[in-house]
Amino acid sequence: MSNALATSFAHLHVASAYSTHYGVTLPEALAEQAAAQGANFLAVTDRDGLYGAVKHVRACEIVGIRPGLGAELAVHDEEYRPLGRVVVLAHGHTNGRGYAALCRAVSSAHDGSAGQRSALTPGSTGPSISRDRLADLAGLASLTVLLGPDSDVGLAIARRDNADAAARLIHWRRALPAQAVVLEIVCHLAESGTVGSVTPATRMLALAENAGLPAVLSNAVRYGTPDEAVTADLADAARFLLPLAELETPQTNGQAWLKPAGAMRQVARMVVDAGLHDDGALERLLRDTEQLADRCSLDPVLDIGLGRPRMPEARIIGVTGDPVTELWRRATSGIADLYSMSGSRAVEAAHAQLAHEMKTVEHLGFASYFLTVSRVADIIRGMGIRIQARGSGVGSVLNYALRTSSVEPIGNGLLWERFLSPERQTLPDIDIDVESARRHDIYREVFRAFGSDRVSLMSMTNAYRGRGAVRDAGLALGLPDAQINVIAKQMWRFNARDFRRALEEKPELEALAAEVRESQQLDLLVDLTAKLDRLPRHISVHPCGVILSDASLLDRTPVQASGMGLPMSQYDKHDMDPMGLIKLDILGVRMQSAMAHAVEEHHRLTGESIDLDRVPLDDPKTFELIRSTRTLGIFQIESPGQMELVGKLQPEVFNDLTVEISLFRPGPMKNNMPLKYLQARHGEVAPDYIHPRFELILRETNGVVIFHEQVMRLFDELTGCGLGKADVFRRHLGKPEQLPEIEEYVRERALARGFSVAVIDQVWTVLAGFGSFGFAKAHGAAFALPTYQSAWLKTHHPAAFLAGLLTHDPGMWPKDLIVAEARVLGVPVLPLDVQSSALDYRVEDLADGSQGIRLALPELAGSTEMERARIAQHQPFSSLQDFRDRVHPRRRTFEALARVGALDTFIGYDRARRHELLAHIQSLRGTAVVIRADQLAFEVELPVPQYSGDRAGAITSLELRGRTQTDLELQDLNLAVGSHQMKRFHALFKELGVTPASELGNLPGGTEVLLAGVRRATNTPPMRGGRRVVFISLDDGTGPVSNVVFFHDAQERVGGHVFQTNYMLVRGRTRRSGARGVSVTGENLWDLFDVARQVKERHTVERVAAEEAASAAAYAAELAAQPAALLSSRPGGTLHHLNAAQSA
Amino acid sequence: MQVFLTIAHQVFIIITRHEPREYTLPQIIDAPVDVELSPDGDPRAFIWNRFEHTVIGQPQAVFKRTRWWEDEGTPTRIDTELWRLDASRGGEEQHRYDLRRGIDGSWTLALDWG
Repeated sequence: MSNALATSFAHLHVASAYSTHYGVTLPEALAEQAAAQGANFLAVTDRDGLYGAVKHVRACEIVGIRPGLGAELAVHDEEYRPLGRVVVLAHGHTNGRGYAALCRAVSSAHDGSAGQRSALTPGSTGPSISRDRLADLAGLASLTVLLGPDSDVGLAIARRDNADAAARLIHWRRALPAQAVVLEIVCHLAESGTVGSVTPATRMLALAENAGLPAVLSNAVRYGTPDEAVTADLADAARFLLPLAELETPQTNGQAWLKPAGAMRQVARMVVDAGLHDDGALERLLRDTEQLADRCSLDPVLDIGLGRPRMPEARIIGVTGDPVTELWRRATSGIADLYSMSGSRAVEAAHAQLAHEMKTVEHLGFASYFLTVSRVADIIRGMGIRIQARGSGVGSVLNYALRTSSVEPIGNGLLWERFLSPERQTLPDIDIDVESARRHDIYREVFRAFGSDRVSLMSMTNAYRGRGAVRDAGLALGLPDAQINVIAKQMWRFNARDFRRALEEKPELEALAAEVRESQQLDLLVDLTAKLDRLPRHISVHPCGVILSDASLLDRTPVQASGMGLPMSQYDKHDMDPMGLIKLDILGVRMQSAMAHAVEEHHRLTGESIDLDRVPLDDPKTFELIRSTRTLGIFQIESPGQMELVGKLQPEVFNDLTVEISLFRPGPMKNNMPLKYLQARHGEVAPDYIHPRFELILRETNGVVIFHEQVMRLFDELTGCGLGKADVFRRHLGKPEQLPEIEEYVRERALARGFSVAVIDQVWTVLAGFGSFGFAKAHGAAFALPTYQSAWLKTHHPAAFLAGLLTHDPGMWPKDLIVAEARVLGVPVLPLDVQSSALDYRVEDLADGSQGIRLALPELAGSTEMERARIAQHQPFSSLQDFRDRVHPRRRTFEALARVGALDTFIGYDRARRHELLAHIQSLRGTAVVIRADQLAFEVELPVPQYSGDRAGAITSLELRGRTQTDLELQDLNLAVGSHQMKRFHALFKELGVTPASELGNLPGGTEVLLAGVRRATNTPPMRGGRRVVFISLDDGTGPVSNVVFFHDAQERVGGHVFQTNYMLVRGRTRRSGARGVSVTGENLWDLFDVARQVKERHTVERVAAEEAASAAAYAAELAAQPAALLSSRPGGTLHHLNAAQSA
Repeated sequence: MQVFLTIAHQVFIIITRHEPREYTLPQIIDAPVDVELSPDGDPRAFIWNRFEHTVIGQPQAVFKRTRWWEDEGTPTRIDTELWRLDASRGGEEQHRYDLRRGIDGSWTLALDWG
């Protein structure tokens, strides 16, 4: 024992970086450091929760030390008076009783009584547990409570009020079970008279001795190493939202690090020496610390239940008998239904595959899991909500038969083993996409169906990224907000920890780099920003994760309220698998909502029902639309890069969409797969199958390995290892250290299976080069389905589809671009009108037999939800009076409606009278009234005065004068529907010789062009070679968009404009991408407003010049003499220079 | 009641043990010194002016925080390490000293409290 004491020290009170804005070292680093220091135990006790607990336990397993878990919690008494903060530690080797009590304690601290408490004690609004509840949970020797410097006892000691300290200690001992209370001695060797000095520590030790209680030594750790104290300072500034210089209680010094045994012993000696303690005090303190650590050592399996999956109980998922039998029954009948139209061979194949899958399911004991997921899918479908499975689970016939997934796996060449096999050590993962607008309804229904003791939402840890890091670092340094904002706006497209390198390398940061060189403070800011990068910042509810378990769930995970009110686990997705928690991703997909809206609109207008899941997958018109690259609004393939790839690839069948989507991923892009595939597809090179035995595997992608499934099949064919093992090999391809071992195995087996060395060499090069790149075909196929469905809707029901897009805004493009697309497709977007505008975008049949889309009420900026609801409820209106009485709009809403023309109905749609209408509304007087939700209207006429004769047109509203409908719409709706906002520039474009986006497709490659428009999107897709490429999509109002690519050299020339200028003129050269697609390689870029001003100035100059009779011919000759001037390339280039370039 | 009296008694002793000497005016030395450490890591002796000074009793370390954000460069520490100890030169009357340890491990004799 004494030997161990000399070389190891057990830290019982340690905050990891998951104590956000407090701890700054990740659990993995803490565990590694502790082990390296010779410790055999380490506890993590995060503030207010177990946020880092699972990561800590796993890290301890890896480095071979015993884990302890606890939480630092605020406690209050029965009258809600705060009792300071204590450390609650779980006892180990209790069959999970200690850990369960800890989980429940944390959940209790977070449960809803905070409001009541804060009413009594203002200022204490954080999580807090009542001492009585804590006492209950500490029963049966489950927990130890450490009373340290932040407890009410410790705070009394710090006040030198020893009598109060002793009295408070007596309360604790009365409230809690015997043995549960231990005093915690903390000393950070601070200056005498400050927090953390030896004086309070030695007094606390004396208090323990006199009370006959054990005392333990801790270092109240906030970071691993002394140099991380700087980061903890930043965390404090962020927590208190104050600059460091203004912090009232900054950390007393930088000693709260994970000190090794020798240093802790040194501290203990100083504490003991500072007071009068008996001879054995030092050894007793260290021994009691060690003994408590022994008691709090948790067994990852027996105490925490690590790695033991728990499914909901059978009766909860509606099963009475054996789950396996039930699963068989449902799957077999599903196959009978779904494959009945496909012929007996397909049915046979499906049954054979089902038997194969069921063998694994039974072996792994996952029958309940599949039943659970299918039960959730049934619940969602039962609510009438669109559902679509995604992820590797799509490769399973079982999931298809249970109708969890709607993609048929066998025909699509998907593999079960990519999803689940005995060789896969992780829990299966099925993702379900649903209509985004209904996601919360689904969650509530799942909670209701399974019971809230079995369901919890999952959380996610949000880590610091560039902007947040620079803001908090700037705050700590006390930099002015305005200055931080300017810098934060530039913090994107690189990691904050690479801030300094980015300053050196990125042309658009040159100005900032110069400032940093000049300023000591900014120089410091760069380093501090890098320190914060990637640290956990806060937790929030995960956008889709739902945890499903049995009734023991709340013994295994602490929960707290999420923003939407439902309980949320403190564990994130990385913790699910180790904790044996079954997570289901129910992801809200806006495109599903958009498509559902389109189907509803079609049904509302025609009475016809469209079943999107039964639309034939070979519709020629749909593929024609896709091949035309007019894919704006279509799921997955609407980005400029995707448009280009679609244009080159020219999809003809459903599988082509799967391939296209799989190719447009970072891995394949970096690996140059698209080019290789396109060359083979278009016959530029012959497909290379390497060996006839591989042809079947590689035929669908013309010899290019794209899918994970192909890699698995290749491994299997080469070695006969089976697909499950093949998936293990595939995953290991991404780890260079594993390659030699795999290669040896493959070579040996392949030789034995009759492959020549040459063939093995060749195929191994392909496999090794594949690495972890590529994409699961199951993902690609699952994405391709909504891609096809949305394309089908756009082809056959454009008005309804666009109404869906405008209502749910699923894609990357702003709404005015969708409006422009609608205009091009001959579907007008109709102006806002209180008689017909609804809460969403509705399709209207027009007099000429075509269809239009009516602008929705929520677009009116500044209007309230109640006002809009009343408009929708009470329309149509018989008069302005009727409208005012039933809607009771606020003045600003009323006026905005009038300005934008939504009240034109009351003036006979005579735009000229809008001046009178607005003036009339502005003249209305009245007192404020409270409006009931539904009230009766008074049918009293409130006519707009009709002026005639001399007085007609006499009234001019200043708010309308000189403004076009477009101006007014942009002001009140942020969206121009009447006509395109670029129209005002069209005369200028003509004069400059700007090529309209709609005509770009007619130009041959290599043509020099001028383009102009408003920026609609900026993309920096991953590129082979690693050099950044910037895509800008410009909208000039004539077509969808023109896409301009700026390569590195052009970015250097253009500088910050490439990201900052929004209205721009661009010079570049066309680049053909396949039969239809064309994009432009940008060479230079100017601010459109600057150009417009220069042109105006030039006109003035010209007029003067003309008056001085300067000959136009001479001027032209002069221009011809200076063709090179254009290449000087600064935005100062004039209209004539630009024109000269254009004609050259 | 007995308990409180005992504690108060101890505290009183702590204070009286250190206070009287704090009020004497220290002499600023600021000289680099070599320090010999015990196996526990505490200073055991230091050599100043060619004479070895032997530490008596348990030396106390004090870490004082800095306002690092006002200085140039990014710090690796946010506090300075100071050791207050009693030492005697060859059996002479003991003095109280403040020794400062730099980040690089070098020692400076900062103050002689007399």
